[in-house]
Amino acid sequence: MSAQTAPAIEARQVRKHFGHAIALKGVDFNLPQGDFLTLFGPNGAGKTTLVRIFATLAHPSSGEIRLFGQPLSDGSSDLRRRIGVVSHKSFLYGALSASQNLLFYARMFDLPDPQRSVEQILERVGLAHRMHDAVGTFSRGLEQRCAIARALIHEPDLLLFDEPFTGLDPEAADQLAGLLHQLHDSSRTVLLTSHDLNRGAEMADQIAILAAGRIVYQERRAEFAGTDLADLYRTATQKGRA
Amino acid sequence: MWRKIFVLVKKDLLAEWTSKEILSSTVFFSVLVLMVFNFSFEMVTDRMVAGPGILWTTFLFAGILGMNRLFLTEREDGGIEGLMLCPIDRTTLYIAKWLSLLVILSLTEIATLAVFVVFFNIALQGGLIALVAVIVLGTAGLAALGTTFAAMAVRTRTREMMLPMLLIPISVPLLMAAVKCTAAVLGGATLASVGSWLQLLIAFDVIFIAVGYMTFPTILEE
Amino acid sequence: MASTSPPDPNLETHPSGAMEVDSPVRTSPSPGLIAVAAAAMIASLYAALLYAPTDSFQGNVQRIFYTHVPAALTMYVAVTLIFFASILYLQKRDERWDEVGAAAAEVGALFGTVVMITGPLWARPVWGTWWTWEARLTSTFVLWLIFIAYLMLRAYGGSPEQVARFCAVLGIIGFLDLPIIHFSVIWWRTMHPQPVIMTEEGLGAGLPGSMLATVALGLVAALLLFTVLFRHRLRVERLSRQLLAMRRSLDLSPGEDL
Repeated sequence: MSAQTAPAIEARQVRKHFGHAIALKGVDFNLPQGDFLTLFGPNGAGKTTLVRIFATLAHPSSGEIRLFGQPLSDGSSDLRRRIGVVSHKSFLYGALSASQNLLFYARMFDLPDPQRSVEQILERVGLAHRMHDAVGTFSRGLEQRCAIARALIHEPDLLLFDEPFTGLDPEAADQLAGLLHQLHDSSRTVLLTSHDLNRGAEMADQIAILAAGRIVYQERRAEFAGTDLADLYRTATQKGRA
Repeated sequence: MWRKIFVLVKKDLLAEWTSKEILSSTVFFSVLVLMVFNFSFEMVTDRMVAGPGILWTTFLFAGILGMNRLFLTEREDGGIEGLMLCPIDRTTLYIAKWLSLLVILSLTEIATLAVFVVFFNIALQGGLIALVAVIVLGTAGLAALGTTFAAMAVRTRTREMMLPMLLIPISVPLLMAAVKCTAAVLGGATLASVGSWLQLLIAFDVIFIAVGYMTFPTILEE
Repeated sequence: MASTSPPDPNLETHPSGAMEVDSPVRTSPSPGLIAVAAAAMIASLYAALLYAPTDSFQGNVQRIFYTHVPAALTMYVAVTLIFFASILYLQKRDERWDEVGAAAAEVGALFGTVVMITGPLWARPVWGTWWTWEARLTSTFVLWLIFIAYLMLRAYGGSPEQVARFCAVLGIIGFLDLPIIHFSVIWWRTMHPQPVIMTEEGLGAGLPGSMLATVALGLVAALLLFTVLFRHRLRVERLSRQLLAMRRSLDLSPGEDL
């Protein structure tokens, strides 16, 4: 498979255990480039662990993962240029201003013109007017937008969002949804984990359900459209428990 | 790699410059410790007997405070994970954190030294450069272990409580060497007169910078 | 080495279904080993209390050294074992090497505590002081502190997998620190001469053959005792981890009953 058409994420039999506690029991997963997939699952199903593994933050105990055809196992420090991550933590420094934070990350990713990249990205997430304020003074919604700017600044091909709606008020959540729609249109690959069935499925090309450390459901929009998501979710997670 | 290290250290120092969170507490704490020592050792007529030990004890205690603070800042907003998402090796992060710590501890120590000279009525004759060399060598070793242990400590259940328990026993030889060298310099002797202590100090630095560098990815991994 | 038969084969089952059969270190001491260790302990006690001649300077109190010196050497054996187990754990990521480190640290700390208690008991009548910052005392004390720090890290270090990594790093750092501590405490002392109550030579050199033989026997007994305790501890560690895993797979919190 050539690098252009290789799936953005390809995971085979990924297991992860901490001592005797098992988080992932053999995950098989495939996400083609350009797709938007939402991953659902109950608490403790291993969603965050799986996203952290794809983000190179954690190593799988066994199994194989390829991002864009390149194995994660071989010193993935350069592969990180193609990944952007947003989690419930902002990865920002409260004492520094939005632009200082982003400038720092722009330099870490060797962007040719850090200053310009920062201005552009702040414009895009609608934070230009607050760029010189310390991130510590931001509301949760503003901080989240700044965190998204941080994840997008190096124009990654793959975006990983771990529970991005957590802790957002409805207005901020709507703004985030708008941003996600934008990203979807920009032909980037997006993997989103969520609790919110309707909001999560709204813009997804595919949905998947992770239960008890395994992918128990993965279908394209044509398959799940029109079905009762809550019902589907209940059946799938019970299947995982059995 | 060195460019990235520069960017990382600059970020740490800029954050510290803006908030002054670490230095304000370490320096104030140093003054408090020196004051307590001053009362405790009032009976000692020759201040030079206790002086070097008091100085390094203060450096150590204030240093522990600073190390914990530097790593808690990274921990709170998940900043260290933000760094781990950047296209750099984990070992680069070790060098950067070690350098940041070295700078912040050195600044604390300069202030401590000034207060020490006044409180303990010390005459720094000529040996200032030698003294700075000793302090830098001692601090380099403390920061090398501090980077390793503080990165561990902030991830443990007891958080900052864990750092002194790990750091102090391992640093015993470093403290002995630093105290001996400082005593020699403050007493007007040359560093050559404590050559073997100086070698021990350097050996300590080299060994634990190397071990810290090699094991840092292990500490951060999951 | 003959494999030990577990009391219940079900206990050896990993929750993932994999059987844990091979083990890098044999757990559970065999009855033969326990018998030999017990015999050596009794023989060593007999030699220390009855066979070895009474020291002409110190009198009977010197006999404590037949416990003290072997315990100290055994502590160094334990720290070396932790060092190699730490390196092997980081290389192979085999949890059983972490179990070796955990068991060796606990039993090693026990021997260290014996050293820390017998030392002052001897020093008080002979040196006239409970404690002095003499070189060997200081380095033993610092090593004992490192053992305690290691056990603290094990107790409060977080998730089991994180504890394993952190303890392995500390195990390596602690071991590499030993020679540096050794030199520093010796130089510290020579530059700060203290009233010499007893020469270093008095401890080992010029010892009569019967005393030397008693020390050697004491060392053999201490190492055998260490092996027995270490293997027991290792087995307990392994079983408790398996128990924890089984509880997890049954969704029971620790301490909760079926």
